[in-house]
Formats: sequence, C-alpha cells, structure tokens
Amino acid sequence: MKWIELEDYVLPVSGESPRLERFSFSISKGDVCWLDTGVTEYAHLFFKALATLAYPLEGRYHFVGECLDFLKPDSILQVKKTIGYITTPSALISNRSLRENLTLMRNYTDNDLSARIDDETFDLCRHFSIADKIDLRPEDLEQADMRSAIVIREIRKATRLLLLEKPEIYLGHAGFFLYDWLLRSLMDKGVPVVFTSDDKNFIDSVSNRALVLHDGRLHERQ
Amino acid sequence: MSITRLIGRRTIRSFSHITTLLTFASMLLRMLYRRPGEGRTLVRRVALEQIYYTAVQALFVIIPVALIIGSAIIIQFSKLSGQYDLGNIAVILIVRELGPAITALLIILRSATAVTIETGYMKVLHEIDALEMSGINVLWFICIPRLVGITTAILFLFVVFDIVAIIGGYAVVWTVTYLPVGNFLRQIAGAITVADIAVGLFKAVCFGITITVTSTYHGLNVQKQITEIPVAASRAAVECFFYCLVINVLISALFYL
Repeated sequence: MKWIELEDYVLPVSGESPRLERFSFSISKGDVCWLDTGVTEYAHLFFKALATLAYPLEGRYHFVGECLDFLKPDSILQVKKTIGYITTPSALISNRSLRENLTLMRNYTDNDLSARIDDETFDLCRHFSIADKIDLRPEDLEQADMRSAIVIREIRKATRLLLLEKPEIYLGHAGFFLYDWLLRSLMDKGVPVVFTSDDKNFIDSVSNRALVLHDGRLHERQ
Repeated sequence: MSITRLIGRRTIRSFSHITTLLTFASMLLRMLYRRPGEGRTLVRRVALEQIYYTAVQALFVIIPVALIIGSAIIIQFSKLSGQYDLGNIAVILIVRELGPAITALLIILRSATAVTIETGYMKVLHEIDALEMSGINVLWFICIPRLVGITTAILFLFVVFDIVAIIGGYAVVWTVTYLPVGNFLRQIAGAITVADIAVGLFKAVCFGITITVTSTYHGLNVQKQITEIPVAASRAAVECFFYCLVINVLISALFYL
C-alpha cells in the first residue's frame, strides 16, 4: 500500500522562488529515495510539499489512502506530526529550553506540563552529548547541538516518512556515525525516507530508489 | 497612472486588507469559542505569561502616565469650569475617552510591536514550521494566548488608568496646588454611571481583539526576509492605533449620541 501519494501536484510560484512542474509521486513502506537535485531550493520545495508545509495550487495528497483536505488544517496537522523533517530550515523554538522543545509535542497533545523526558529520548541526548545542556535555550547552544536536538525530536516522532537533507554534513563528520546508525535502524523498521546527499557510499548503501529533480521537473531514474 | 486610478486601487487594497483582518479575527474568535482539547494547558500557561508581560509589567508605565494626564486635566478644567462641571468633564474625558484610548496606545507601543516582531522572527526562522511539524495549531498556540492575554491586560489597565488618573490626579492637584477642587470626588461619584464603565470595558475588549488580530496577522504575514520584520512592526502599530481610534469614535457615537 502507498503510504503517501502526491497526484498531479503543482506548487505555486511565489516571486523569484522555484516552482515544481506538474508531478506525481508515491512512497511506500521500505522505500528509501535519493533525491538528486543540483539546486537546494528545489529540494526544499519538494520536501515542503511532502511535509504538507507547502500547499499545492493543483493536485491531491493521499495519506495512507485518504485524500487530504487542505482547507481543514487540523487534519493536516495530524499528518505533519508523523513526518520527520530534518533539513537546513528545521528549527527549535527559541524562547524555550531544549527540554521544553523535546517535550513540547507531548505536552501539547497530552495537556501535560511536566517537562519529563522519556528514557529513550534522554538516552539519545546522552549519545549526542547534549544531556547536560538540556535546560539551556537554543541561543546558548552550538549549531551542532541544536541540530542534534532537531534530529532527536524528529526521529522520535517519524513514523510515516522521514525527510533528510544531506545527512552526511548535517551534524558534521563527528555526529554522522551516530546519525547514520539511527537512520539505518529506522530504515530497517521500514520507515520510508526521502533524502538528498552528495555521499556516494551512503547513497549506494541505503537507497533503493532514485529521483531526479532538475529545473522543476521530477522523474524517477530507472 | 491617473490620480483617480491610484485612489481607486488604494481603496480596493485597503478594503481587501480589512476584509482579510476581519476573516482572521473571525477565525480566532471561532477557535476561542470551540476551544480545541489539545494543548489547553499549554495555551493557558502562555496566556498567563502574556498577561504578566502585558498587564503587570506595564503597570510601571501606565501609573505615571495616568497620574500626569489625570492631574493635567484636573488642573486645566478646574480653572476653566470653576469646579461646577469638573466631575462631569473628568468622567467624559478620562473614563469615556482617554482611559481606553491611552491604555490602547500604551499596549500598542509596548506589546503589539513586540508580538509582531516575535511572530515575524518565528516565521523567518522557520519556528512556525517547526510548531506545525509537531502537530501544533499555530492559531491556537500563538494567537489565542495573545488574544486572551492582551484583551485581559487592556481591561485591567483601563480600570487602573481610570482610578489612578481620577484619584491620583486629584491627590496630586490637592497636594501641590491651591486650586479649588474640594468637591471633585463627590462630583465624580455623581457623574459616573454604570453605562460609562460598561462602555469603557466594551471599548477595551474591542481594542484588545483589534490589537491582537492586527499585530499577529502582520507577524505571521512576514515571508522570508528578516528586513520585513521592522516594516511589519511599524505597519502593525500604525494600523492598530488607527483602528482603535475609529472603533473608539464608533462606540462613542453609538452609545452617547
């Protein structure tokens, strides 16, 4: 079964930003798609389309067989919270501590204000060496620490799709080993992934599909 | 482009902008009425924080301003009216008109610009996207606490302003001048009606909604560039003040004409 399917999608033109020509795309359990694109903006736009952050001018978005209604933001939010989005524009909430950032989604959903981090998340914080910085705000952290927190937040929630931008450089070389291990464990569970990368070894070892996105046209490389 | 065409185009753009703001206001009010189950505790906490920033911290500004304006009005009108209408004049000027208007102005200067800048930064730095990707409704989490907080703060500050301007102003004048203001408080008590207080409170609620809707709308409307934020903050502040003045006049005309 196709977990996510974008049908006859056209993304709007806004000023100078790139547009995606009409395309269709689907992804199922176990798919790991490498997105080959020379221009980062196209990749960002495609990721935003998959993450339902960019609404289409035309076309339909099917999520586990159900067509999404973009006029009902609440139903779109239910989709968003199952998609891991680890790209350069991903951010932490700056007026909240790392702990609050990591517990925000649970606090919101469960109406619970306790800032207790579950054991699995805290273990990840320890592995990424941010456990002792958990009560600091993003402004007090190094960029690598912020990105580690983003990775932990997104990986912990990604159940339907994971969107990654250049994982080999996202956390720097030091953090890649752990990040790579985490990604592979998710891929082994069948979580579909779409990623961009310039690391041929990584691409060859994880991907089972290749997409080409050039000049706003998306097609699959056979 | 001819001047007529320019005026026509500007008029259409202004109407379109006001319609968008009204639609945004109706979305927020519907959401406030609906009160989604998710995130209520968090929204309540953010609303309390907003009340603290907007109401409690603003006390140090509004009290001296109210004292200065209250004493100035009492000094001027005690000379002009020879005391006879001083109570009525104070009620008309302070409770009905200046109280809500000055309170709104202070809130615009202190909080509306801050809200626009904060939400604008959140938009540019992709924090709004991060909230959405966590399944958090931005209107519920960002706008509703500010709507509740700012409206409550204006109500509270309006009452504080009136009390400080009238009683504090009277005390200042009585202490530092020899002006004859002996019957002032009795005149105020005789002049003020329940309708005056109710209309003032109604104005405060309308101003709270207007200020929050305008400032959050401009913040969330920032697109990509950080340089858009000061422009948005400036436009939000000017629009908030203008809309509040118009609403003030409309409500006064509705109730007192």
